[in-house]
Amino acid sequence: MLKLRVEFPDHGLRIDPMGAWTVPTAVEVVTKLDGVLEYLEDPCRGMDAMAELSAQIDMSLATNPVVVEFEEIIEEVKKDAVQIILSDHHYWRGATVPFT
Amino acid sequence: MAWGDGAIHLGEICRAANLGVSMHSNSHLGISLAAMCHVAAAAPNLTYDCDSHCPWSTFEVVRLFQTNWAFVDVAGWLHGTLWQPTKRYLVFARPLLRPLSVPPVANGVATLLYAKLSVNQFAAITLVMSWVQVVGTLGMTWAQSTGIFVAQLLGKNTDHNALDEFLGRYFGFGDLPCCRLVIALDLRRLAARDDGRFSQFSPHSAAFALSQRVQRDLWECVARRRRHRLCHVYFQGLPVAVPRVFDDLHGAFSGPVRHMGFFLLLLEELVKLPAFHLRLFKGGWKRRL
Repeated sequence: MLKLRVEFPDHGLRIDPMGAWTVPTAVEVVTKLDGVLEYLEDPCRGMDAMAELSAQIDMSLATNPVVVEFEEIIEEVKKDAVQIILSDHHYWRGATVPFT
Repeated sequence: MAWGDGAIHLGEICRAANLGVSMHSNSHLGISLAAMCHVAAAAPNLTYDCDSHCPWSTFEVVRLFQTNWAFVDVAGWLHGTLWQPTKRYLVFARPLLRPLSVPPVANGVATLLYAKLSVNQFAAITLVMSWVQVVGTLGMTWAQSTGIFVAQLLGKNTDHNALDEFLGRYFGFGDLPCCRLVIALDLRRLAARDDGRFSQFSPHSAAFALSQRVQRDLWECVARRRRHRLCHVYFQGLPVAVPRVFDDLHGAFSGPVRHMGFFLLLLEELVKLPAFHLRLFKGGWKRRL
């Protein structure tokens, strides 16, 4: 990512580890990439892990699998787990949900 | 609720909750990428650029021209041209696949048969897929089998005239009976009283929904339909399940911004399609290159 930043100084950079990192690993990466990433997507698995990470860092966190229903937005806001929700035209009342 | 409305509501809620919103998905080919553009155009509060692991374009699948307007005819599969997108598709589509069913396996077998073809030859045989959208699953099966036959004929170095004759027979006699059969099967299903779609209706309403009169209206829907899925329409005050015709398309393409996005995509297709069909018409793909 640091090399990408040098090569493309004006582009927004994002990482999507698909929930593969532990909280300490994510904190370590965020420390190294402070100011390099636009936001970090799903570094850890689950809302609680994301909230734990979010409390320790300044970088914005984004998710698509942690918040998948409208009801979960309320829990997410209470825990301040992520700052950006990633929408999806298929999953958010797209082809997967019958018309009413 | 129309397609993408959920994403739009999500934007409103996030604005109220002071949350950022972006859109992010795995892999988009053709209409899916178009749908993503439409939803993005209509969504409020998109505070970040949308992204996708793998945005496809038509040219990524069918590469018609090199520079200087020369046709590209690169060897497929073994040289990586077909294999790479297929591999990416398999990787990204895997989580979306419900328990592995027979059609994906059949598709895999068909892909192996296609493997000997070059990219342009592969593109040419997809011509027979045009009926998929019109006649549904049975048409798809028919078209795939025809595609496999064409692939085998090409593999045997069958000459130009024999292929013409085969495709002529396919277009002349294949599609019309196929359409008729699909519509007849559908109406037979509708006529079956144990059809689960009307289980929530009172006996009186169910009888009405299955009456000759409603079925005649359904016939028109079936004849014009583009897909199998059902939607509910109000027929003389009663909700009736009918095959969806253009409902979601109407939802997706309403609004001036979305119209513009659709227009641009249409323009792109109009530019590319004549060249593609000209190549098909000239028939060079039927000869070994």
